[in-house]
Formats: sequence, structure tokens, C-alpha cells
Amino acid sequence: MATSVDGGISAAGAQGPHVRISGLTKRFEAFQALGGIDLDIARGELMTLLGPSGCGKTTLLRTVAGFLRNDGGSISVGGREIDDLAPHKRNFGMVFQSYAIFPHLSVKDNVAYGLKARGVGGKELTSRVMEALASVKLEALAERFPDAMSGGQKQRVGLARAMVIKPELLLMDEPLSNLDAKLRIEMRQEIRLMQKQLGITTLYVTHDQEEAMAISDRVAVMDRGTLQQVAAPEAIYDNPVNAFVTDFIGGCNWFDGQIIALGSGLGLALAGEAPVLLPATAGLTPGQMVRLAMRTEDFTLAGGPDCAISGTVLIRSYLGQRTRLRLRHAAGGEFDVDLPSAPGLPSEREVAHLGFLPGRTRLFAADDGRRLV
Amino acid sequence: MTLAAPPRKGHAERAWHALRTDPWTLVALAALAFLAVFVVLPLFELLRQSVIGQESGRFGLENFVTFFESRYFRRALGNSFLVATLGTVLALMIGLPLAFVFARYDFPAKRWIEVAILMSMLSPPFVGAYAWILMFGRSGIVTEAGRSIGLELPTIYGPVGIAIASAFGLYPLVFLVVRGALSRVSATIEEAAASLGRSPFYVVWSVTLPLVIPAVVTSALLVFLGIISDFGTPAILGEGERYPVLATLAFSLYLSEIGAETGMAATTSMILVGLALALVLVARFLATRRLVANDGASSRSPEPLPARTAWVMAAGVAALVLIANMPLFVVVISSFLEVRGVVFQPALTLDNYTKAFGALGNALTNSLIYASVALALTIVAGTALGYYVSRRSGPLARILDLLIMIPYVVPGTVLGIGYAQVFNGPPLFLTGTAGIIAMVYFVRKLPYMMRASSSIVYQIDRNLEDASLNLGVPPGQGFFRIMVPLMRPGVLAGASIAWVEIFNELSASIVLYTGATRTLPIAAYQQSLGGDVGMAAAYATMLIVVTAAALTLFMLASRGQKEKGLGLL
Ligand SMILES: Nc1ncnc2c1ncn2[C@@H]1O[C@H](COP(=O)(O)OP(=O)(O)OP(=O)(O)O)[C@@H](O)[C@H]1O
Ligand SMILES: [Mg+2]
Repeated sequence: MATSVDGGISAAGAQGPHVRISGLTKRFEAFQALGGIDLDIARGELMTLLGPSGCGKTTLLRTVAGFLRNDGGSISVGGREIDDLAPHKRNFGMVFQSYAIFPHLSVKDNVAYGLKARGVGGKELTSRVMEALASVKLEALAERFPDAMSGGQKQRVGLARAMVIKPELLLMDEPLSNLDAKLRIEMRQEIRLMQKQLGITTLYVTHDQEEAMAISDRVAVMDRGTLQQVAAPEAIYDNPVNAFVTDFIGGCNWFDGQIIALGSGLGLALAGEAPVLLPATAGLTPGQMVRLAMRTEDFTLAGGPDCAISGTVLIRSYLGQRTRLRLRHAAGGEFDVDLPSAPGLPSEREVAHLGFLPGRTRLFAADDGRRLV
Repeated sequence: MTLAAPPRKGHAERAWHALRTDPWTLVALAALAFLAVFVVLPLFELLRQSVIGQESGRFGLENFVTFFESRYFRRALGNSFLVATLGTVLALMIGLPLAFVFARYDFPAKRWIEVAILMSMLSPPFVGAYAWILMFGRSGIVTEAGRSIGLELPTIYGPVGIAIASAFGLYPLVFLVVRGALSRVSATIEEAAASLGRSPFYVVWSVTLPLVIPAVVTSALLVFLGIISDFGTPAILGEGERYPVLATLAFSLYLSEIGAETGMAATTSMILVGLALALVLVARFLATRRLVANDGASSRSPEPLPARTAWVMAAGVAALVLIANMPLFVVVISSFLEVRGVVFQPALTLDNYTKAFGALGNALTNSLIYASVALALTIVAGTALGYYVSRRSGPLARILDLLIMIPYVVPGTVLGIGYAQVFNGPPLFLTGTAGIIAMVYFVRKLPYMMRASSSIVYQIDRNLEDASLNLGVPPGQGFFRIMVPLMRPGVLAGASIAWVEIFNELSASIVLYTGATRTLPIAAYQQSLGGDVGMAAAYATMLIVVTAAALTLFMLASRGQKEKGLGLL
């Protein structure tokens, strides 16, 4: 198969990841925006960069696009380093948060812009433009100018414009954040469908956790210029590697505690509570200070020796299948618990005794937030 | 084996990288070299001459001492200051109410009155001055009429006359700048104040006015600079040596019949530049201290008035504008009147034009050629540099931004004298050529054009250029396919104003022209200054007509432009 001159490259590309980012750093003056990013994206994969505002998602995306030059590390696509390749020679499609539709060109001409630069003309140009517009359901608006279009329509033009050039890699920077909630959900399904159909390798940026979960093959969680965890959405949710990811994805209750020797094993002592025995103790040492993260759905009602934590119910809200309790912990602080709606749930001002669902206790080192158990 | 740490990039390496990866760096470097030669060098030469004693030839402040010891020189400084202050106050008194009324209310014939206001910017300031002489001069129409009923009117010659003529020529600046700011004050702010139970007058006074103060200060600065830099008006209404101001003083010192006093001319120029600079700094301080921007809420649109009030307002505004435009009408009508001696007769004739065309020589064609060349250069360089300074942030962009603005503050006469001093020998011998006039036109209007184009660039989404790059279009091509079309409407609008000022330029070209390179404004000026009154009116009318014709062309050219979603104009 690899008989072309650049056979070595395409052979490498076929086996290795489609996009490999290794040790990428970028600084603005004194500010380190990217601190050594390592990320592989497989061919046809949709990888999402997820992280709080200012963590460097846009910077990473723009560096991949070639608008910013990396200070260190490298980016390769199909096994070929592209650090020195000018942005207009990279053949990446990009969809912008601000749409960036050329205001002086009609919808049709916007979509044709990149094709013309590639020397496509005549019948082929028209048919490819119309095909791209059809795929975003905009054939009817081909002659319109952008100022007479809604945000959702503009973003579809942006999508068609980026897809029509058959990009090697599709880059999207919060493409949906200027749209209203309903349209956002609709569009993200369309994007995902189209991306899968065409098998375009995609790097997608968002700070919306739900969007990231819904659309991605894998999610790369970023914080302060570094990647925290790269994994499939379920893995990120169920198995966060550190306190930041746990907190950022889904949110949870945090409790401070200490590891103590309990009988023949180890136990966890939370302030104001009787210690509970820990089933898995690898990597723990007695006396260690820890933080316990519990998602709201990781509790059960439990009395007697199974009770791990208790609190006074402040508010009880019925949410359908589940009922949410807001509790005040004896040692101070409040936490939320979701329990299956059933008769006999504690009412407001009562004390609720709760146990932890097995396998859901996530412990992190108090000092650096590293995952312990 | 250990890996060496990647070396930190030094300044030189970074600059080299910028040059290699960004072709604009070359453009910027070329502009820098150009500005060094055509802005910095002439001014530096004047500065050098000002500190070399006219008498002793020694380095020192001797010339400045001479300047301040002479009553005549001091009077020029005082006059400049007086005329500019008085003129600015007058221009504000006319321009502010107009701006307010236009920004807040709708009334009949509003668009036409607006056109009339802009018309008073059409002619060079000295044409206005000349019209005032035609009306209120020694044998002016109004003066004669007054005399016939035994009324002796105060003289139009002197500082007060100069201030009045200047104010009527420059109030449209106040109108434009302040109206723009007023319509950007968000309606919600005023409504909030009104809802707190304040009377409309109090709201305007306490809320609206402070919000537009920066605009008022800016417009006042523009008028003030315009007046102290103007050469033609004080030359005509000050009768040359009788009521000197700094600009006319510098000019006459430079071209003095009894041996040119270049040292004192340079000193006067430097004092004039100093005055202008001081003002810019004061204005900057006043305007930035309370920069209050729009809060982003809906901007205010004018409200319709009850019919009767609207008509009264229209009539009032129209009367004011009519008076302001009176000089224009007087000049145009006079040009078709018979002249006996220095007095116009109530009889129509084309004699003035016959004579004017007879003595025209190359003046009209020179003007058209120089102004067109300069305008073309201004558009190209202004667009490119406006783009550069607003899209690049390095030290090069900052230096350029600063250098380009210098000619904005430096009066034309000063720049003209500087050019005459520097380019009168090798390596650049330009004195007396057509090139030096086109060059000074170009350099003087470049700041304006650059500002106009950079303010457009700021409004264009940066991502558009990235999108173009991303779609595979190289940067140079992308600039022409994306930025140029988007900038075009604004650049054209700026170019039309630049044309008016370039075509009517007098204060620098009057220093630099020779018989062969005389321009139309110079011809008009010469006839206005004690020449043939009829011919002067004819030349002035020609200036007005050519300017208006060119403006119409620009408007037609820009009408076809699409301005999709840019929110311009
Ligand atoms: N040109 C620049 N000069 C200096 N600092 C910059 C520049 N661009 C970005 N930064 C800084 O780098 C950091 C990362 O910015 P970036 O735009 O990549 O964040 P982001 O993750 O995309 O955030 P958001 O979700 O708000 O878009 C920010 O702290 C920002 O202030
Ligand atoms: Mg961003």
C-alpha cells in the first residue's frame, strides 16, 4: 500500500496515531500558557479539550492550526512534523466561536473560498459547494449574505466551509457557545453525526462538560496549561485521576479526613464521625491526611455500624426518580445527597444516617490532590 | 547523552523570525525609513537651526531669547493663542448645539441641512476668510451698505476677524465628532437618570454631558490645532505683517525680502510646534481622565418632535447653517459679478473667469496631478499602515504609530520650511520639484488616513484572517481578498475627506512652490491677497467646484459598496 515517495510517512501514519502532540509548550511573555502537552489522537477520532476558562484550550488549538508558534515540543500529523508548516499549507478545517463568516461574501462564496484556493473550479466547485451546503441543510440560503442569517445558520456555514475542503483535521473552538441551549444540543448531534460519517479526525474545544461527554470519543481535561486526564467520557466520570478532574467533571462533595489503623486494616476517620473500615487500602499509610470525594448519587441510607456520615436535613427536594437532600454535617459544612425516591426518606430537620456505596469512595492526597484509592 | 536545553530566543533572533515569517515586517521597515527621512529629518533640521544663534552662529538658546525679547514676536505668539482660543470657543458655541439637536431630534430637511453643514468644510479656510472680506472688508458689501445708512461697522481685520472666520470654517468638526459621541451614549443611562426623577435639563447636564466630554475635548483640540496651524486665514485677515501669528511669522521670516532669517524662522516654527504639542498633552489629560464608554446597551436614536416644534427647530438650525455657509455663497456669486476697481457691481459677467483662465497657467492641472498622486499614495500607505499598527503589537508597530502622528500636530508651514531646508541639496534634491509638493501633501494626510483605516480594522473580527489562512489562502492573498474589501467603504470615506484637504492644501505648498509648480489654492491665495478681487473669487469658486465634483464621485463610487454586517456608517 505504501508505495508512494512518502511511503514511510503514510506507513507510520497508518499505524501510529493520526495526530501526535508531544511536549508542546507555549508561553506569552512570562506567562506559561501550555506546559508540556502530550496528546495522541487516533484517525477518525473526536477528541475534546475540556477545561475551565483560561486553561489554554484555545491556545492549544491555535497552535495546532499554526496561528501560534510553539516554543517547544512538536506536533505531527500522519507521522510528519508540521511545526514549520505555514497555517495555510496545513489543510486543517477550523470552525470558530465567532463564526468568522466572511461578511462580504454570500453563503455560497464563503463555502467556495477554500476550494478556489485549491484550484477547484467550474462544475466541480458548484457541485461540491452545494453538496456541503446540503449536508448542513442550507441549500436554500446559498445566495444569502451573512448579515441576514441567524447564529445557528452562520455556524452551519462555518461548518460547511471547513468540511468542504476535506480537511486532514477538523478544529473547532467552542463552536456552539454563542447559540441558545436548545440549538446547542441539536447542533452538537449534527456535528457528531457528520464527523462520524466522514470519519474526520477532530479536535473540539469546549468548557461545557455535558457537551464534551455527549460528543466525544475521548475527552482531554485541561487545567492551567497541562493535561490532567485523557480518557473516554465514562472513564473520566467514573475514574477521575485527581481531585481537579473529579471536581470539574460532575461535581461532588468533599470531606477532609485522616487514615487510621483500624483493627487489622485501615480506616477513614472523618471529623465528627466514627471511623469506617476501608476495603481497599493499597497505597495508604496510617496518619495520612486525605480528602474524600463523594458524588451525590454515591450514598445509601444506613444505620448502625454501616453509618459513615450523618447530617441534619436542611432541604428535601423531590426530583422525580430521585430525591435530593441538602444536609448539614455535624462537623460543619453542607453536602448534597441524591437518594432513590421511596417512602421513609428522612424529612427536613431530621438527622439522616448515610453509608457510602461500595467502590465509590475516592480518596485523594490532601496536599497535591493525587488519586489514592 | 544529555539533551541540551533549547536556547532562549534573543531579541535579534526573534526579530529575524518576525521578518522571515511576516512579510508585513518589510512594509513596516520601509515605512519607518520613509518617515525617518520625510518627517524626522526635516523637523530635526529645524530644531538644530533653532538652537544655533542667528547672529553668533553658536549653539545655545540665543534665538529663543531674541524671540521673547522682541515685542513683535511676542505679539505673534499672543495672537496665535488668542485667535485659537477665541475661535475654538466660537466653534464650540456653534457646533455643540447643532450636534445635540441632530443627535436627539428628528425634524424636516435634516439630511439637507447636514449636507449644508458639511459643505462649509469643502473650501479651504482662506476662501472663507476672503469671503468675510468681501462682506465686511474695507469696501465689503455689508460695510458699504452700513456706511450708506451712516453706520460704521467694526473692522474684520485682526485677531477677532481671524477667529470668526476660522470658527465658521471649523465648527463642522465639532459637530461631527460630538454628534457621533452623543448618539453612542446609551439610552438606558439617560433613562435611568430620568427615572430617578431628574428634569431633562438636569439629566443632560449631569449625565450626558460628562459622557461626551472626551469627544468635546477632542473636537476642541482639532479646532485649536486647525487654527494655529492655518496659514491662509491669518495671512489674509491679518494683512500679513500687521497682525502676525506664529504661522505667518515663520513664513515671512523664512521668505523675508531683506535676507531670509532661517534661524529665527526655525525658532518660530519650534515654538509653534511646542504650542501644538502642549495642547495635545493637555487634551489627552482632560479626555482620558474620564473616559466613559458606552455600556454596550442600545444606543440612542433621535426622537421625532411635535410638528410645530420640529419646524421651528428646522428653521433655527437652517438659519444658523445658512449664516455659516454665507461665505461660500458670497464667493461663488461674486465670481460672476462685474468688478470696478476693488468693488463688485450688481451686474453678471464671465469676465472674471476669462481673466482667471488667462492667468491660470498650470495651476489647475498641477493641483489635480499632485493631489491625485498624493491621494493614491495616501490610500495605499494609509490602508497598509493602518492595518499594520492595529494588527501587530510589537515595538515596530508602536514606533510607527507614534511617528506617523507627528505630521498631524506639526503645522503645514513648519513642515514646508523643514522640507525646503533639508531637500535643497544632495543627496535628495527636491526643492522646486513637483515631487516635493506631492510628498508634503502625502505626508500631511497620512496620519488621518491611517487612523481612518485602523479604526475600521479594529472593527473587523480577527478570526476572519485566520479563517482565510486556515482555508489555504496565503497571507498576502488573504489580505486582498478579505481585508481590502472589508476596509474599502471606510477607506473611501476617509479618502474623500483627505481629498478635500489635499486638494485645498496651502500652508506647506506656499513655502515650497515655484512658478512652474504653482497650484490652484496658491493662485487663489495670491489673488485674494491684494490682487484682483474678481479673479480671486473665480479661483476660489473653481476650488469649490472641483472639490465638490470629486466628493460626488467618491460618493457614487462608495454607493456600490456592500457593507455586510460590519456596522460601519
Ligand atoms: N496573545 C496572548 N498574550 C498573552 N496572554 C495570552 C494570549 N492569549 C492567551 N493568553 C493567556 O493564556 C491563557 C490561556 O488562554 P486561552 O485563550 O487558551 O484560554 P481558553 O482555555 O481558551 O479559555 P476560554 O474558555 O475562556 O476561551 C489565558 O490566561 C490568557 O490570558
Ligand atoms: Mg478559548
